[in-house]
Amino acid sequence: MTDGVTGAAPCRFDSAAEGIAAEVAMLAQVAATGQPARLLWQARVPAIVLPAACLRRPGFAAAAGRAAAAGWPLLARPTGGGPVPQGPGVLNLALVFPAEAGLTLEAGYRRICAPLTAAFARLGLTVSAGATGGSFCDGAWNLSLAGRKIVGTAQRWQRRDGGWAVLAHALILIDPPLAAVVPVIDRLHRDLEFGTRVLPDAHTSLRAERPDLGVPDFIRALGEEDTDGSPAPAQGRAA
Amino acid sequence: MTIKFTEEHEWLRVEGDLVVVGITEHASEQLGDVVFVELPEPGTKVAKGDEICVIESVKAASDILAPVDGEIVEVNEALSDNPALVNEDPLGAWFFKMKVEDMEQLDAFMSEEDYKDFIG
Repeated sequence: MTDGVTGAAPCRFDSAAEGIAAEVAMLAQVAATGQPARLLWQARVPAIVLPAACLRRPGFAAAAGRAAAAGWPLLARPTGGGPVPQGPGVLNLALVFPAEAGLTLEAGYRRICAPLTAAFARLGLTVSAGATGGSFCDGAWNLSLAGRKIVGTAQRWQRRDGGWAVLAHALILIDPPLAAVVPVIDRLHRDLEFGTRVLPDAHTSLRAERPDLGVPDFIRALGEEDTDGSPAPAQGRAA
Repeated sequence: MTIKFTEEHEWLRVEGDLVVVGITEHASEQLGDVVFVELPEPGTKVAKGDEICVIESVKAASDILAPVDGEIVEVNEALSDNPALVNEDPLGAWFFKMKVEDMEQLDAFMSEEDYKDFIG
């Protein structure tokens, strides 16, 4: 297994674009070799990352200019969903693995949510999967703590000989500047006419829940879990 | 009208010397609400297995592959404006039409009955 984790430190990139490129390269590698891989990474420069679909929305250029002026330039990513923050305080986990026959999207989400749920439990925090109204990039496979989103997830599937390679990505809110970025994402939602609002109270972070913990603690807790992309035990499905 | 299905959950409908390609209801249900479709350029020559479309939903993004060797002759621009058509009518929401010289390539794909067995 290729492992992007060294001790309790993630790979650090200047830009989230580099982290995204590393994930795409891993997906291509797994598609070619069938060997699972994982990467934990953080970006130094703040940005808001959004799917390619957003780039085609009317008003995108003006919205991008406003976000950049607020200190949050926009970057595209190859997975679906909505705009999310990247930068200091955000930890990313990418699991890339060959899909066995019959693997579903839901099973892919369970596979990345299971080790994260266990890691939070090791830190004394009980998270559960499900939609979190008012959160950015809301979906059925958020991990939330008392109704507040703390992890977002996404997937990208790429064809490989005899099947698919799956990139399952999780964005973990360790200590991001939510008070600063959530209004920018909320404005993006309005500018790009998503029809949904993004609210600060719909999110939390590891540091907000456990001020004594940070990235190294979470990675250590995660390190005790199997994150090589092998099938997770069956869990209840989210709504 | 001949219709075939691939293990990648694409449907292929033969119209004269053209093959019309879309994704199955099973695939659209798996993906959830489709929000973006990136279509290929007409005139593009493709080989079987080439990644020629990207489909993005609220749950995931995925590639659509060229099911056979051929040339893209037409794309469904309506999907660019309204990707939700893929969910509303998967068998009607075609993605592209291919000119295929060797229609025998389609013999390798599943019938509707076989595809139903395949997805269980």
